[in-house]
Amino acid sequence: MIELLLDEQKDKYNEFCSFAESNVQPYASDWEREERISKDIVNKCIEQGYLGCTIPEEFNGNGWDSITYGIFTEAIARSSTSLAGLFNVHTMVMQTLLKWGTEEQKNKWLYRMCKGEILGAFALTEPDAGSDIRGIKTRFTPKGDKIILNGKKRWITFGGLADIFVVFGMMDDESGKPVACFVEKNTPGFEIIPITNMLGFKASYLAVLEFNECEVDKENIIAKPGFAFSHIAPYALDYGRVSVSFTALGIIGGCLNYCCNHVLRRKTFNSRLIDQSTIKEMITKMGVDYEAASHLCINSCKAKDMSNPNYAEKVMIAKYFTTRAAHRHADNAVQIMGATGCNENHATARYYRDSKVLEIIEGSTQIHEMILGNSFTKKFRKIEKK
Amino acid sequence: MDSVKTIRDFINENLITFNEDAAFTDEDDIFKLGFVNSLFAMKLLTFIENEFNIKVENEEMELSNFNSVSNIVNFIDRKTKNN
Repeated sequence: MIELLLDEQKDKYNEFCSFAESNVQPYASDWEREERISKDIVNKCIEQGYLGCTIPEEFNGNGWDSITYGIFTEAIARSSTSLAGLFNVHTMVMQTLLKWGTEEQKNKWLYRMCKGEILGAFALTEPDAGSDIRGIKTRFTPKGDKIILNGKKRWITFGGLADIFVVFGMMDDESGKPVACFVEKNTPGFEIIPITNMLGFKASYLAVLEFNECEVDKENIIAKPGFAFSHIAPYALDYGRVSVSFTALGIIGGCLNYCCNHVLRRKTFNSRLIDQSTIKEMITKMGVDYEAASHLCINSCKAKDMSNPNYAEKVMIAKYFTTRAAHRHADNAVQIMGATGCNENHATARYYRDSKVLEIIEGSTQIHEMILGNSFTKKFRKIEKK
Repeated sequence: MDSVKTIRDFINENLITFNEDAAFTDEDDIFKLGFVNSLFAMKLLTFIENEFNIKVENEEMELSNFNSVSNIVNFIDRKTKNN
């Protein structure tokens, strides 16, 4: 991947890798066991100024382009996909504020989010609505200059740590339009219930959010009712898919690092593992997919930064390819590492679990196939002359 | 290229129907026809902002500005005249 980067991006990538190796990698297994990343690492990220990610400097952000955000995610995810997940949802909320927020909303939350004073989470999924968001049941009832929220969100990444949430629902009025609004933690009627025992992303403070007659200012509504599902959610999820793609890329890169060291050191039947053809095949496929995925990830970010109208599809292609490859290669990495890779203290065990989750979140593999299958068919068919 | 053709070509490229005979007039509601997928609305907004060098404000986010070729062209005309 690194040869695809500009010099400035290479320098940043080296900085991110160095930070992760010193501050993330040594502690990641502990966080997984405790099912929460430490407050210390959040504070260290704040000290480094990383929370501002892709937001322009005028809002205290870092002004990173999508590629820099991606390589930051890749470097962090090699050590902790859960920590990469924090930046994912935090960025989705900040980008929602930047794109759709009023000046008042930006002044109230965006500057503080960039400084890491408050953290964001994205509350879209519900018990009966995941891939098909039209099934969302959370209701927003207008009442004077307030709206009253009733409903439940589930599987909300960093729901247990965040301070500000983007919450999606339906207007409970004659319009019945989809709507999104900002809700602050500690709002009366808003309860956060931790979820534990997940397969992967175990340290990412997953939570159920319950809204029971939760009263929020109408000023917290994002843009206008009617555009929450068609514009607001997809725009944020594009950033989510960039993050997930590079998280998967980091997992493949991590698998390569661990496996390549192991196959040179470990001997069976008087020869090194790398001298055995079945092992060579696994390493070759891992390396080739890392190269291919790097191109897809970087090119999708270039399209995004150039506001190419097709960028969302390119990001989906990168997400689809990279997450599936990550799961295949995490499976092989555990196979190569043997019993060591089956131990919870080893990164490849975590890669194995987390890579499965990556195929589900931010649009499942099957949702990607529903959209991309039609799109490719349309693009590559030959129209017969009548 | 005139803006009607530009908009029509963009929509045509993004129809998800495989039906060669699928057609729409400049007045048809492209969202109601069901010929576009869930990515289309945001893609259309990005295209309009980029192609015509305009910024669509929150208060201009009305379905009636974007749901047909004619309405899109009228919206762009209004925006570019005001700039």
